[in-house]
Amino acid sequence: MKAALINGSPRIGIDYMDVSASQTLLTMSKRYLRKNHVHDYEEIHIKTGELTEKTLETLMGCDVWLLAFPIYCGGIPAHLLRFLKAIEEAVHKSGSPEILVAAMTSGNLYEGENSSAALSMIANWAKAAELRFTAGLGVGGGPVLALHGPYAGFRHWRSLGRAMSQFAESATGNGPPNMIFCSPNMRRRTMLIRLSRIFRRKWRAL
Amino acid sequence: MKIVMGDISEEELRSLPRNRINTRILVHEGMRIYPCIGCMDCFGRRAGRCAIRDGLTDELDRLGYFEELELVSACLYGGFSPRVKGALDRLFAYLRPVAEVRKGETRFATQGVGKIDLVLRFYDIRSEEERKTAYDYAGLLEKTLNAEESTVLFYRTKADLLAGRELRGTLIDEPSETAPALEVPAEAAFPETGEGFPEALSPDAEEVGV
Repeated sequence: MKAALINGSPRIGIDYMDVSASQTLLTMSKRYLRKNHVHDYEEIHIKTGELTEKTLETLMGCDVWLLAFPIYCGGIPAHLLRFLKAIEEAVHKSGSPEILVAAMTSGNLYEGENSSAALSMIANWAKAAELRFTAGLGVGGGPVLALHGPYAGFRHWRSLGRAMSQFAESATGNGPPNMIFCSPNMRRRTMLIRLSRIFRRKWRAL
Repeated sequence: MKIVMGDISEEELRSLPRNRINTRILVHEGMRIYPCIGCMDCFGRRAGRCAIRDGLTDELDRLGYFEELELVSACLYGGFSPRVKGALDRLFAYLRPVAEVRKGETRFATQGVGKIDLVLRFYDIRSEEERKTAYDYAGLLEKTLNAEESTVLFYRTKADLLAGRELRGTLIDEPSETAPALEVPAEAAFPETGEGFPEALSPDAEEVGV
């Protein structure tokens, strides 16, 4: 099976403080996708929301589309909405391909349940574009996750490891359709302290 | 003061109820809005201001205290259209969000303004699922923006929005004068012979006492 790993974060990753949680989640997911017979990947980064012919051709050649994006004001970022609308029109023109769609969200402060509305929107988009939505994963602690790196299944991200393995099964069609939400394995207060450290580092960075 | 952001023209936004006096139209059709780039300068160096320099930033820089926020948008998959969502993402910085724990949940607290009232008008509703998602999203947005009161209104088409014909029931129950009637697919219609009925609903089934 071939998967398209679509990064919906507008960040381009200039320095170590500019890492996006979406890219971290996609890197983590490769390990779990391998266990579900996905060995070929195409990595696509949606920075501005434009759909080019080359991107469309790449997407149509994949069996699974894995979207990862941050939550902005509880919903999907505006540039990604533009991209999804363009994809829907393009898919209607080319016929209804048999493609599985799964989505992962980051950017929640602590609770992963805050992304339930955004994942429902992705499910509605998949239905409108005649694709099959298989799994959604809402991850809490987005900014901290980006800086911690790909350590799913260890220490503060144990729940994320379990959630990822269920998500990968459902996303590739090996399990039933599922919506999973997880929060980091640390206290809320600890998370807020780490968040404030990140924002203070951003303040000092030039 | 009330601020309005929508993806229809300025005249049409002004014609909506309670949008004539003490109202500022911040975003309308024809304005070029750059979406948020996630630089997080609004949380850091330029706290409370957006780093992107365009027409919207100039308007937001001049924005003072406001009590009501109205968003008028086509319902796209249960959320806002790209123009309105992009403007909302950029506006969020000016609310000076700070993370705090409120009622057991981690939320943003807005320091730039006090508690605001939220009015959401969705038009071009395509399905009941999108309508339900929009309703759930409105509840989440109320918590995210720390709004005191929120009103969500649905309109089947843009013409219904401008005429003030609100959708009160479901899409199937209330056919609109301006939109074509929804076609019910043939499989959903009840067959005359009772084929396809689950056994318990078949007219010939015996009644079983509980």
